[in-house]
Amino acid sequence: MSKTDAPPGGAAKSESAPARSLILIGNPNVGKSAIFGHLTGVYVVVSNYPGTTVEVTRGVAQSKEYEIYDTPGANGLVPMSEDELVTRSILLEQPDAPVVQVADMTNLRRALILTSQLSDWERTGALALNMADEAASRGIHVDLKSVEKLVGVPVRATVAVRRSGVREIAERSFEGRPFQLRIEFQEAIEKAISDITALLPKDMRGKRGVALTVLSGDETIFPWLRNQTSQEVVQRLEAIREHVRVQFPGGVAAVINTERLRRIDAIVAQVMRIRDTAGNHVLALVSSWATHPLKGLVVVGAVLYVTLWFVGLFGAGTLVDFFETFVFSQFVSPFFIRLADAILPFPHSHVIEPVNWTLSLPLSALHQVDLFTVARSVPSTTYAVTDGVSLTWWQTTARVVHDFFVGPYGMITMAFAYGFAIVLPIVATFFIIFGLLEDSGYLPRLAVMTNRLFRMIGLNGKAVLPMVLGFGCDTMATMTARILETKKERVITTLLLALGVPCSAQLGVILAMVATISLTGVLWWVITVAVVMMLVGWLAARVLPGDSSDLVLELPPMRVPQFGNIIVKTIARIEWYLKEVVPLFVLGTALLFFLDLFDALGAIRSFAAPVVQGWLGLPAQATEAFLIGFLRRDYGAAGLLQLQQHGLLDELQIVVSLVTITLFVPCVANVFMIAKERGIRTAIWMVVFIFPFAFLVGGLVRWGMILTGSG
Amino acid sequence: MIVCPLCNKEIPQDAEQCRTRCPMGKNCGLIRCPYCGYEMPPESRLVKLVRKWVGTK
Repeated sequence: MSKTDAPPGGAAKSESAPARSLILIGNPNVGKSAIFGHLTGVYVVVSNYPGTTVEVTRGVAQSKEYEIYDTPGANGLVPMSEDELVTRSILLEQPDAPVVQVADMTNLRRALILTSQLSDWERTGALALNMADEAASRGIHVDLKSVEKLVGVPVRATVAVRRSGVREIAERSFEGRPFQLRIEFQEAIEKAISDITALLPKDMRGKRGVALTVLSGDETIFPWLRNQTSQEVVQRLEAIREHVRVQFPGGVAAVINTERLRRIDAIVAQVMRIRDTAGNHVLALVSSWATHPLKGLVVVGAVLYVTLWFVGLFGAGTLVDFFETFVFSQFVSPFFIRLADAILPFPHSHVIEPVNWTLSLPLSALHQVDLFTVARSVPSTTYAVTDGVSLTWWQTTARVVHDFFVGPYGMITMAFAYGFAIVLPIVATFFIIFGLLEDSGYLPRLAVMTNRLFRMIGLNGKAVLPMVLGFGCDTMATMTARILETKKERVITTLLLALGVPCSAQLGVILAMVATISLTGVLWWVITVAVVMMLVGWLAARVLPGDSSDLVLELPPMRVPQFGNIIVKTIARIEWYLKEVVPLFVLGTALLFFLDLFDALGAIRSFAAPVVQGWLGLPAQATEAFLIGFLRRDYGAAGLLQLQQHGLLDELQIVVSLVTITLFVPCVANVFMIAKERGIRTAIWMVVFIFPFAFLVGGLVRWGMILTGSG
Repeated sequence: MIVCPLCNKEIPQDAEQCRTRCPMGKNCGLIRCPYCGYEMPPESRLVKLVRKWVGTK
């Protein structure tokens, strides 16, 4: 594909371009580009439409017989956006080119608005009712023969992503049949149409379309009209428009649209049947509840409950137990310990410890079914140098290398074990849930629900949600720069994000810990984090002047998630996560290894003891979790999860550590980001504020729970 | 052409690749929606193969 500044219109055609053209037109997100991709060959040109930032793609059909234009999505031919203006301009530049209107079969009503306007403009072509598979799965049946009779052009059901029906409909568009979905309006408007068309050149195509565009109040048509007629004609057209306008105080465009829709609704009722299925009922119910201010909270609660069970109990419980206790502790780590002992000999003996793994299936937070147990005695990472032996230089070096790989802070025994045995099962289950939310169409509804809460603190949901719901690696800086429209929002967002809104991957591990505590503990965590975020956000909103911009999201129809899509999305996320995160786990473990090697870890533990053990009431080992939490918060959370799973944290300590790690400083990558985007001073200020703040709040929660008897 | 799961807009092909400014890595490889900022991983060869196996669009 090549990108040029050449205009996409017919005047810029090269000599080698085919003489015929075909224009793809349709509402946004109906699959035009998929159809374009299937029809065209290798040579495709993407260029900005002259005077705009809108890109138009054109290419040569694989048969080499015609050129194809992929226009921007348009809901109508009276432009409401730059995209729609460009689409109409292309139609005007190529009056004889057939049009393939690509429509979403599940939203026939929206499509037929455009079809009727193509009729007004006397275009020829065909209608592709795309996403036929989607329609079928939702019980929607469209009588194609009746539609073809009504619209006048060839009609075909297509599934663009499977290429079904695509070539056929493109070929049939050259039959020259005109779109004939003509809508008759009330007398005053029809009279005005007639008066306008009488003033237009006899050979002008689409005079009715021109007339309706003028009457709708569109000004953008006039430059073209002046070229086609004269200034005098344009002035007379404006006079007719004004004469009609005073008869309709609510606006002529509104009247035209209403009457058009009334006729289209009648057509849709005639040609479309929706099979009443239980699935449709459920989807309709969920969809209607999902954005309701109160009922939506029920849906959010249900989603969270399922997530907590699946991620926290099954993922962090059954799967982590399997990978960590059975796979790593019983096989992988012992294998590599023995291998290291064989390759790097120095006189020592490992402690042999029994490792029992039980396959358990969780039924609830309190109940599980134990199926069977596998017990093995294996060498642990703990060892003792043979008594009375003084190690040579080579043996000491071998020992260091040995410990680097299979010691307590070894690459295999800790970095890979954490990465593959602990974090991976948790994030994998979390990603499955995410795939479900995405594929079902619920995700934007969740954004709408959360936005209501964010508006209370003067923040736009679109500022934070993409980061929370997405991966958040680069999002903080570039997101605040790109999508936030006001400085106020950018500052609040940076502050709140720096306070520690976890991205989805980190949230997965945190949720795994949340699943192990009682409802009281969960409430303490949720309320503490929410209060902190809202307090800081509220204060910032008061202090910083300016308005927040609006969150505008298109809500796709809800649908039953497809198993295949969820698998694909989950694997894509896992693959990316492993490539991105495991190296950081290795780096973090290496850091701990060297700190331990030079006896610095003990010193750090002692230094941090007044805060970690005294104020937060956590065991000394939690210091390491916070230390590696600087690198990646999910790594730190995984460390805390390990302590919890080994019984070293009681419920009070879990809640305290959860609150602290949630509010903790951002990952080091994000700190560098702030430094790069906002300056080193801002980055330092944020770390200096957040670091003690997180520990302060963690300690306050601890004492709050003790004093209220919750802990 | 990918449709953003959050804002439901089509992400233009040349806007797909994350233009990262993260100093921790040259290419994080994520796809970012230019309209809402939502990030998601691209489909690698392995993922495309899996998609073929499960027979999904």
